[in-house]
Amino acid sequence: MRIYNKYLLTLALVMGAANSLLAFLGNNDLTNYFVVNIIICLGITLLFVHLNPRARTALNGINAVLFGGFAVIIALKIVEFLSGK
Amino acid sequence: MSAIIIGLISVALANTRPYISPEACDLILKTGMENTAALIEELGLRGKAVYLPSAMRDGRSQALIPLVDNRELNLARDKVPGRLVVRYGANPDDMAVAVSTPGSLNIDMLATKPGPTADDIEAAVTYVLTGLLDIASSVSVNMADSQVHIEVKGAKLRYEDIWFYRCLGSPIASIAAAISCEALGKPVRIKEEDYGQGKGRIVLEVLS
Repeated sequence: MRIYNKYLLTLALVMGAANSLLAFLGNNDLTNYFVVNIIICLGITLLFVHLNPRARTALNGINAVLFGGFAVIIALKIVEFLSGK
Repeated sequence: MSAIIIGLISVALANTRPYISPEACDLILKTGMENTAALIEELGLRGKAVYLPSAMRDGRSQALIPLVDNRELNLARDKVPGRLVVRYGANPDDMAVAVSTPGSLNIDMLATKPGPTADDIEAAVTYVLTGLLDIASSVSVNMADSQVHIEVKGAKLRYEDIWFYRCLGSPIASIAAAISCEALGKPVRIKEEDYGQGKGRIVLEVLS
């Protein structure tokens, strides 16, 4: 199995399991799903250190966008917490 | 959400595949190999090649095939001249043919020179074989008594009992040897190579 196949399969399995677990726990907030999926994506991408440089550059671009989304959610949560709503 | 993320990653990875088709790469590899094989066979070279680090060979790692077989390689020079037929020792018959191998060219693909430990060599060989070239699933490296033992799982390029491979080793062994000699800063020779049950075993002899 190629390293790309392993990477995508690992992502699909772990994200699927995490989403199922969140759904089983009765989580209805979409931001929680978003944050958990982003953390899984960033973590698994870090584990696949042997991907070639071109693939890594492309994945870094996607991860930067995802991390931006993650940062926005965290910032909104902090504002929400500080404003006491 | 996960489907969107996986979809984006799939598109990104698809765009990072090489521009040259695998068939073209195969053609270029076979052309180079056949030319080198013809040279080796024509000269009747039966000795095992010695892989030299780039520091000993004008900045590029290459393999020396001694013209006279069954003898210890006494490298009398610090740097072997950058020619096809080279003298490597003090004796008149210490002559060899220096050729580039698939492993020689892969050294340039490494971002940094690997260190002389088994872990560093393993990381570098794994990076090239699984990450860059995608011709093996995993690699493990052990060092003991001036020998480097390399186990390759899921190798896609197998050893064939042909003159070229007996002399220079298979492309996988050649890559492992070139990286090991560069990491150790010493010449190495492929001592043994065998494949079976999805595993390949390569033994490299480190020469002083």
